[in-house]
Amino acid sequence: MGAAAVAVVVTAVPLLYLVVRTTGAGWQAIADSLFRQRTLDTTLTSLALIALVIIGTLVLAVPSAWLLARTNIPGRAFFLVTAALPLAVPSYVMAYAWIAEFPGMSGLWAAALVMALATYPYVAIPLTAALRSIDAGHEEAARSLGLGPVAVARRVTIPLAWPAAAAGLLLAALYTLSEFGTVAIFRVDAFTRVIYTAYRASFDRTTAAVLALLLVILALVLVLIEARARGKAQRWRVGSGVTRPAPRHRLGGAGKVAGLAWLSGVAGLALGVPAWSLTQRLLESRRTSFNVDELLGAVAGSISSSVLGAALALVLALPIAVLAARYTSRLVKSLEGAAFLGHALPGVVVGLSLVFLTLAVLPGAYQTLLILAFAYAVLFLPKAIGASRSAIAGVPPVLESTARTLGRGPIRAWLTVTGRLAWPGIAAGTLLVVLTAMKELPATLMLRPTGFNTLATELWSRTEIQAFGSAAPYALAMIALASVPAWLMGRWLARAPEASDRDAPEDDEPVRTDEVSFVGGVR
Amino acid sequence: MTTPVALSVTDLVVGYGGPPVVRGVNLDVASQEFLAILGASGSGKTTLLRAIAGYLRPEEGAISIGGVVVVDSRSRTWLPPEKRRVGIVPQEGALFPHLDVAGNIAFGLHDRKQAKARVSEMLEMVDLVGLESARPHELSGGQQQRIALARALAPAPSLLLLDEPFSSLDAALRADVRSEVRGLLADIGTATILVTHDQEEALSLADRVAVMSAGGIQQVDEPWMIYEKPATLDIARFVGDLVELSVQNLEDRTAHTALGLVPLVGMEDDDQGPGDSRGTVVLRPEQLVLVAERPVGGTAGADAGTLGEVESISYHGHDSLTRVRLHDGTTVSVRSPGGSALRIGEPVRVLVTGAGRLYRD
Repeated sequence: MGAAAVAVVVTAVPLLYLVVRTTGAGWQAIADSLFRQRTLDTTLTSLALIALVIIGTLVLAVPSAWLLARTNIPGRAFFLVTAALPLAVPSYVMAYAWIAEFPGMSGLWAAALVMALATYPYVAIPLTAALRSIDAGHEEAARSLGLGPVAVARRVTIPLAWPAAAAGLLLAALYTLSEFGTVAIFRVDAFTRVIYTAYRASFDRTTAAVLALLLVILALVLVLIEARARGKAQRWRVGSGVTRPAPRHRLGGAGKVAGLAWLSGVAGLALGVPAWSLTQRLLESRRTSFNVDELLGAVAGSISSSVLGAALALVLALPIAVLAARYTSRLVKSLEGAAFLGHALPGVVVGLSLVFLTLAVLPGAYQTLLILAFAYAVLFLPKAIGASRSAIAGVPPVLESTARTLGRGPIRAWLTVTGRLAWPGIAAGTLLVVLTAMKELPATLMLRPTGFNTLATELWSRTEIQAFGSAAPYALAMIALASVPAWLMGRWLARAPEASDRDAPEDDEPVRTDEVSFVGGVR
Repeated sequence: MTTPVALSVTDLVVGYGGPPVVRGVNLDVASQEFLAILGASGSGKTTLLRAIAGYLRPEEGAISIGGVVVVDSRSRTWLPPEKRRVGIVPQEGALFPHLDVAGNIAFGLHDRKQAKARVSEMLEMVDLVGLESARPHELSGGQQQRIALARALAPAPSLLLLDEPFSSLDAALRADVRSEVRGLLADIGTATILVTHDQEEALSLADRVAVMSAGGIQQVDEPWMIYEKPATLDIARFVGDLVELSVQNLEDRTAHTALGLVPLVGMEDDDQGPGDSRGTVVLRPEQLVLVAERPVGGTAGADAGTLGEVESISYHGHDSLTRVRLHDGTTVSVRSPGGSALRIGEPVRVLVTGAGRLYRD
């Protein structure tokens, strides 16, 4: 319990310090920063971007999900993969690929297009699963009660599938609000870019702090709404019986052609364009100068910082996860809730507050690897907790208590039974943090030691000076490196703890809920 | 005490922070004894078991196992589960899924050299020789349950706790596994507590049965005593089917009821006089006999018994339970061997054989 409380407090330090630092500037300064045209413009820009991304995500996801879940369109397994794959590509890599192909792209619409392409899996995947899992009985009952197909969709299918889609939409919105790279590449003055610019122009750090707090508040609102929507989605799952999926619509020839055109078009925009652009740039880069040592240095930087960050996150997460998996007291719930709020901390905010904090308290730690790793740990703690917690909760407590009566003390019983059975899940959670930390950009830019490069920062600095060709190897290395943990994790989860595979439901579809939550967890 | 005591529970109060779930339980289990704790869900029986195993710290009271005090609220003694020498077989076995059968059985053994011999000994005992390297999920439900038993018995505990171990097995298997386990435990003579909500299981297996409800033990007795001489009307209702008749009048160990005159037993220690006549006479359905009513002709004995009408029949194969509505509106259940030739709505006469027990209001 003590360790868990310490972990939560440590995690909260950056945010608390940001509050202290902001209020320390005096109310007049805060008011000056808050009540001016620029703040309003920034807020409106961010909100407009979110609105456009939500609309774009819905437009892309809903027809795709319906085609995949409810029709006999050929190639469903393939298109399910293409619908999930954009999650593996960091959105600013996607943005880089687009702008490298179409250098004229910039502004709100360009950013919204790329963000929608990057985030539509958040809705498409859970919505497909939801449409598949709605018991055919509900819709059949509605039909026999006299409703036509449209009325059934409006009054049964949409209300049943909505919670899944809503949770995904909120995730997409939160992601859009926190995203720095894409917004900066297309020069959209949303929160993250404005904060970063204000921080860079070092005379204006109070503005940066005030805007950062405002951003956190907005993100917090989204996180809380998301948590509520998810709770609702869970409550709606009624009954434990096996559901019978709805029958698939038999598409005619024309329908099949149209459907395939749609799915291929979406996949082409989300994956094809970036792949084409990246290939072109790679071919170009062979003609320009290309330094292998620099690339290897960046790979080493990415790996060392993200592994260190993940290790730190694991140390902080384990006490909370152990408590949260086994106890439901109010104190434990609030500890877990506090850690969960970490979802509302954009990288730019954590970066900023740790810059302030180290400069004020520990100048020696400013721009060291340790502080960078700590930033990763704070940012991705909720992920590490989530994975470890469900892995531990998956081990029946009766096993541990039985081990106790067989003569093992509490720590040995935990290690030889619960820990032993939960470790694949815990390891997967840690790998997930490694994977996510590799893609982190703004906090890395602010906190990295001088001369220390990661793939993300190299890609960023080359894109900034429009050296698209020489950026290509970094983008490719990033996708490759990020897919290694993803692949490992998939294997791990496939042969997950023997305890749970007994109950794993058989499904006629490749849409399995565990896969969906796994994909949804990759950000 | 002359006979060695395997378990002694004194004034035990256990709770989860709120109102206590186990309220002042006293219980002794003799060595080699098989005791069943019978109770409905929510009666506190599982909480009592968890307190004995050491998973829960009681608020008050003391427990000693094999003569060793494992918890005592007054002297603040506390032994954790791993020091209590208690074996437990949880519901559904709860075998460790990451270990094979041998690994499971050897889990509680400290001496690695002797472990192998002990594992084969245990496998022989539960009649599963050759399954050392099988994985738990490859075993049938009954096999899993027997391995869980072997695992619990391998360290030679001084007390064995069975937490509804048979409830997850299907009916056909349950009876077999039950009698096997019972025979095995009788052979090795480890004192055992079985927690169950199944009265048939408790009555058929145990040397003594403790009936538990509302956090307290209501009666501890041999199985036939629990069934035939339940201490309270509630216990009578819980243990098996019941015929309840309200008393119209009492005289000389006989009660006037809707079924006519019913002789009463078990009133020796009670007041015998008519006194207050309010109360309930209970009989078991097998104490009633059905006689077909013959509307034409009137044969001998046609007047015997009380006239009623068949309301429902549930057929169980070896016997059937017929519910009869008497003329005054009371319904009684009658157990008859085999099936029934009666039809619903048919008039029938009900005869009482043997004596009932009176519970005063």
